Amino acid sequence: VQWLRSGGDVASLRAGIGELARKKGITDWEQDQKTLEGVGRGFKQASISGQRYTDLSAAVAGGNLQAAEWIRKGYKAERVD
Amino acid sequence: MRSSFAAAVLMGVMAVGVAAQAAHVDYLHVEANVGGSSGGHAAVRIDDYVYHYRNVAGGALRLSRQEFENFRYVYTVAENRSIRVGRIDVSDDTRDRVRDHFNRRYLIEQEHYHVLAMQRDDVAMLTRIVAAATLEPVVPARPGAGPRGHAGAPVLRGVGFFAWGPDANPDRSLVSLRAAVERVRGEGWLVGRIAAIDAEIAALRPDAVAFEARPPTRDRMPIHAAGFAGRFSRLATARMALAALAQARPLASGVLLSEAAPDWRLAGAERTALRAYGVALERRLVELVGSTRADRGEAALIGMARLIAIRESLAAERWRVLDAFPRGSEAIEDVDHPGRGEFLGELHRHARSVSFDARKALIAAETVGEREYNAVEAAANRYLEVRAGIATGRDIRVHGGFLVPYGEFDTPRVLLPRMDAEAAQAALAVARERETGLARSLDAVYGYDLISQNCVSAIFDTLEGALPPDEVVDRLGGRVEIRNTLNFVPFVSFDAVLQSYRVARVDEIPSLRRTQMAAMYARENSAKVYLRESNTLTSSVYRDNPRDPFFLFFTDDAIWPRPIYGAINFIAGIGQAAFGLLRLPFEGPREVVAGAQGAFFSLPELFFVNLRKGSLDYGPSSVARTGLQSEHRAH
Repeated sequence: VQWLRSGGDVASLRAGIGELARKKGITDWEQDQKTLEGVGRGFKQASISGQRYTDLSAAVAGGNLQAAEWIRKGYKAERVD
Repeated sequence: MRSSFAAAVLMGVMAVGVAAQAAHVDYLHVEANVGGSSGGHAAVRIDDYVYHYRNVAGGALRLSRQEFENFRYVYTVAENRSIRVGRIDVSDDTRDRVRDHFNRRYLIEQEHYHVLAMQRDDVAMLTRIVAAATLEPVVPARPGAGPRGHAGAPVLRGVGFFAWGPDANPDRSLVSLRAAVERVRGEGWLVGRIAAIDAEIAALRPDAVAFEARPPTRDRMPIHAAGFAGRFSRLATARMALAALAQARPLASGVLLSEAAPDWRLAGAERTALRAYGVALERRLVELVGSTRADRGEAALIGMARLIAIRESLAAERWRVLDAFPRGSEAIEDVDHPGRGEFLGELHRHARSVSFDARKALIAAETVGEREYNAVEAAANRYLEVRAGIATGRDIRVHGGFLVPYGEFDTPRVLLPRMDAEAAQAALAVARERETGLARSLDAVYGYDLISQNCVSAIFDTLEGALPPDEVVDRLGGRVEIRNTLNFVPFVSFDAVLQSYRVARVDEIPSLRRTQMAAMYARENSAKVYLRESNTLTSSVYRDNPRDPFFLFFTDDAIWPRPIYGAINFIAGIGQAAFGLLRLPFEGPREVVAGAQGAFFSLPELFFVNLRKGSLDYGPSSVARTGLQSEHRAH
């Protein structure tokens, strides 16, 4: 959140996810379940919720319903005490 | 401390596949060896990962995050050094906080150096643009500067898989894909998109102001946008992907690898799986070429090249995969050297086994995706590379980690944004100033210092810094003080951990030589084993390693005779250096250096101190599974 407030944009986040996914053997990360579940877990760890979660999830998924579902799955699976 | 948003999200991606285990944090002390490791080394293991700080070229202390098995192999097998392990009992919460703090620092540090690399890429690209504008010859800003070592033009990944010559015949898979794209997006869409990207490239200019004004710290993610060179290379790659599709470019000559051996034929189930993946990939590519994501170009180019590789595989009824290795890959040299036979044999067996396992996994997958296909592709690349190296004696390319096809291509000058000479020179001056300023700031944050910022002090700073200051003692059992103590020395720090923290058990992972000798002592005559393995001339474990200083006797397991062996090693080192001097005109300085270093590292042995263990060019995995000797401690 602090990062977004400070001017970081979703495009840079998507680029970061892309670079990390490539290191795991994935170029088309928008189609990769494990990568997107990891993004969902990251949202939970960053305490993203409500409308912000909806907006960010949609932005990362890029309109792909399956991608949004995988993000949601990772988000729900992540346990934060 | 809360993680920043970006760090937390990326940590979520990094955590893929990490299973929860019993709560503990292991403190590792790696014993000394010669060279840059004469003081030993320290690390922390959490779950399957090891975190350790290393003094890298350029004088920075950088955090590494490495899989434990990989770490163990490097240190106990290749470097032949034993590791002592102090297992600290902690709560789940403490373990998670420490792991997250190391991960966060790792990501932040990676990001800082990524920003620096982007700024260097900007300098290199602007140098190229200035040269184009003023028609001066291109001179790199510094040796090795520029994107991936080129004098300015960014390297575009994926573009190199295609043939761009004027007489290339259209590829039928891309003709079919182009038709599918035009059905969905309309005829003329591709040409229109290419023109739009060309206009974006023409309008591209360096950022007028730096995005991040605050000085870097270890605990704050830098804010940045993609650099000038980065934005250009993504646009240019996307443009070239659309051009490859619009012109239905065929694959370049030699980018498909295959093998005539019978076991390289496609099995029936593999044909079915490949056909299904090919259909899904084509459908996905129709979406991908119209995507707005910045890195779409590379994904589309690799996807299209794979589409052709799949078609060729099905037509030939045998596996054909893209040559995935990057330019300038590291390589195993001297493949013909007789001492390398055992190593290459095992490498071949291993690569073959991994390749066939990946093929089995592909067949077994419910749905084949990029993950499964890339596993086969990468394993096939490694296997075919080893086979070709053994068959022809040429160097064998190797690549650490996942191997995703590179297909690099130098940006043609015609694609570069055009700027007038004055504006380009002004932008270059700004970019240079930013780059040198950031490099200086990063030196201040990450610079190595023998005492205050070394592999030990940085570990404790991160480990104890992960916890609320007033809870460190409760959570770890105590504190390890670095200031005004000798705890910055790795072996001293290990004792400090045992004394201060809640250490439940102490283990040792013996070095390869010690492991193998223990097995020999158990089954052979002890005196015979000792005499044979005590020296480099008759040892069956150690093979002459050209990277080691010259020596005759191992002294790590010889305590009382150590000064005598040390004296012999010293004399032998001097003798080798003198012999090397005579052969200097023919052999170069290698023998002189090895002899002089050998004599130097023998000096501590005269005083009962052992540093040198001998290192291995290769350790076979069958004996590399070192045992764990444990000494349990009471709480």
